[in-house]
Amino acid sequence: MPRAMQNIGAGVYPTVSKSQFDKLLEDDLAREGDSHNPSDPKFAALKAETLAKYNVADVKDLPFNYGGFVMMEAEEISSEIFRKHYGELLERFRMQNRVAELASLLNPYLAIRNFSMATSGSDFSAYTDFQWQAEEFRFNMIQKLNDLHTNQIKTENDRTQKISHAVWEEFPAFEYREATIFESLRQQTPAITSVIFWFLAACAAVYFVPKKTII
Amino acid sequence: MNTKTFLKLELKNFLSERAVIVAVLFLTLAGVYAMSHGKSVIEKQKSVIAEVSAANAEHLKKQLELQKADLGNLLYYLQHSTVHLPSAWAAFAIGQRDVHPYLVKVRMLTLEGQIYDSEMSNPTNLLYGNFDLSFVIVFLLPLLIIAFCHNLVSAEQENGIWNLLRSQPVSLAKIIGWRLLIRFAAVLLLAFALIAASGFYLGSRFDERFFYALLIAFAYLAFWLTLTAFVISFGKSSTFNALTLLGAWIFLTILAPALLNLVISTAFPVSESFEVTIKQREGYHEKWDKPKAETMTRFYEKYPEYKNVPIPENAFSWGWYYAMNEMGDLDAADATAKYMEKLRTRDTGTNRAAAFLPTLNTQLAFNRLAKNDLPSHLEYLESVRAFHAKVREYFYPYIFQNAKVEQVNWQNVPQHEFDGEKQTSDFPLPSAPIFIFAGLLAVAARRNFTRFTS
Repeated sequence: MPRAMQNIGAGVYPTVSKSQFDKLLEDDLAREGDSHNPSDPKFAALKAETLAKYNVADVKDLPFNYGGFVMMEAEEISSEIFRKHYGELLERFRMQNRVAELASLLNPYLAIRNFSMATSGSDFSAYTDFQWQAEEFRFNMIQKLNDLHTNQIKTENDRTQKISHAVWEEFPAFEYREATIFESLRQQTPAITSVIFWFLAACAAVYFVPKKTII
Repeated sequence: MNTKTFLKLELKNFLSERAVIVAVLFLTLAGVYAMSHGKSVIEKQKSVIAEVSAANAEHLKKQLELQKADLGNLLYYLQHSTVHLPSAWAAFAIGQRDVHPYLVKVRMLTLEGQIYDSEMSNPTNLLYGNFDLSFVIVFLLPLLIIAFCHNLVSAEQENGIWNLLRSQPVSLAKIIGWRLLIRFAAVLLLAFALIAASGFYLGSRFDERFFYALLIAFAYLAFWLTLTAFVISFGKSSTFNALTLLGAWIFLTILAPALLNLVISTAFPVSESFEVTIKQREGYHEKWDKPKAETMTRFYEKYPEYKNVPIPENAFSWGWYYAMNEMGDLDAADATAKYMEKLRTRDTGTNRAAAFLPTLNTQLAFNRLAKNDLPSHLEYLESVRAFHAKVREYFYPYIFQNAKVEQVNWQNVPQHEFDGEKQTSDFPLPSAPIFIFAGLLAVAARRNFTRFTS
């Protein structure tokens, strides 16, 4: 029954495959501004705007490295697109799971399983939590690199310049923030309801069963 | 009463039970659902593959337009899609097809960093697994055997018919044997009908695989029949038999495979995957800081024909760039080989242990039949490696000649295809221990029956 329910959920709310997902990102990127495309209108406008702001004729005359600056803007756009689509995908997964979660009202096995997975931090919400924290970590790291590129690297001969070892050591390591038990359990209302219901039902059954049939 | 009349009456008796009709209907329904689920999973994969293959030409056209100024840049962005087409039996046993990617796009860069992505799947779906036809046969049909046979003797004892039967001048052991066989035949018929239906509905071809599937199902169900016969041959109550058999079912379908998984992953930890990641990354990235001549010397060992092309030491060149990328793979080659070897060792270990677990053995055999097992995926990865080398070698001459984009022959760029249907060798048989278990259980059950019916 659990397997069938989960499969039905996946059938009712189909999701995109990885290659379709990549295609969605690619299409949105082409629409929203692709920094890798030399003739992209959005980045052409950004260039004109920046040049006007600093009153210079060429990006080489800017007080910072324009290459890094563009990458920072591009990262902002592409990460926003990724977060949007990935959020939609995870929401879709959540809807798939809801079918089996609702079935857990009828099936105490599923309820106990979801309940114990939530308490041990191995349930779906722990998974999404980790995914978002990893993405946040990646985004901050990349933007820090772009910041270094913009402010510490000169445009000329950029491929031969190096950044000191000390700067790299300052980069923080990834640390996973675990959800508290209450945060995890809040996601499991159907499971908890079901466990309580079955517990009461079992008590009632024991209480109301006529004594003589027990022997 | 002769055997023929007895069988006729017994069959009538068996088929008139309402529980039997309900159980068979339920299982048929489960089978129909399993087929539609398997079909939808595989159809979706097929449509994605078709979509991507159709978009390939457009992708090339777009990149040719965007990067027309620089061939090196173009090759950096150009993706080559590789596909693992499902076999005709794929929907019958989805196996690991939901975890492993069936479509990987590779670029001309270091390969080992590109081929280990998994499909974007809902982890909860992966946890529960697929409700496919092989699941119905491996998990649900044994329950049908247990339901039909667990009270074959005990119900007669509990109804008080047993003593009446004993007073008749017939061999009771023989009667029990025939009654078991009738029920077995019913379950077997259902299994064969499901497998045959998969031929019509899922497009699983009626070739030798059909007979392999029948044989695997037969051996598996025969094991459950003899196990059930053995348990009831002790003449215990219906409740005792049912609980014992359900315990055996839970152990064999859920506990034992989970335990084995734990043992295998503890015994063979795959630390090599991390090593591959590090080696390929460092192998490529450290080359940026090393003298170009050093990288090129190693590259020339493999491709001496490019020795005469000058690579400037203090400037960027595409020849050097792609050579660096290939060195990333070369540096990781040992770790990769060890990693693949470890995965194969794990698979062999699992298969060996599974020979003694009829449930797991049967599931693995079905996965192998459908070519949705780990070795099939590893073969696909090998084909991707060979394809990637072909692509690199196709473009190297252009790169080292500093060719222009329009000088390249874009019509003959290598294409990849790995068709599960063409992997037609090495089909699995049920393991010998299943037959041995079934044989031993049958002999022991027969001895018990003869003892307490005489």
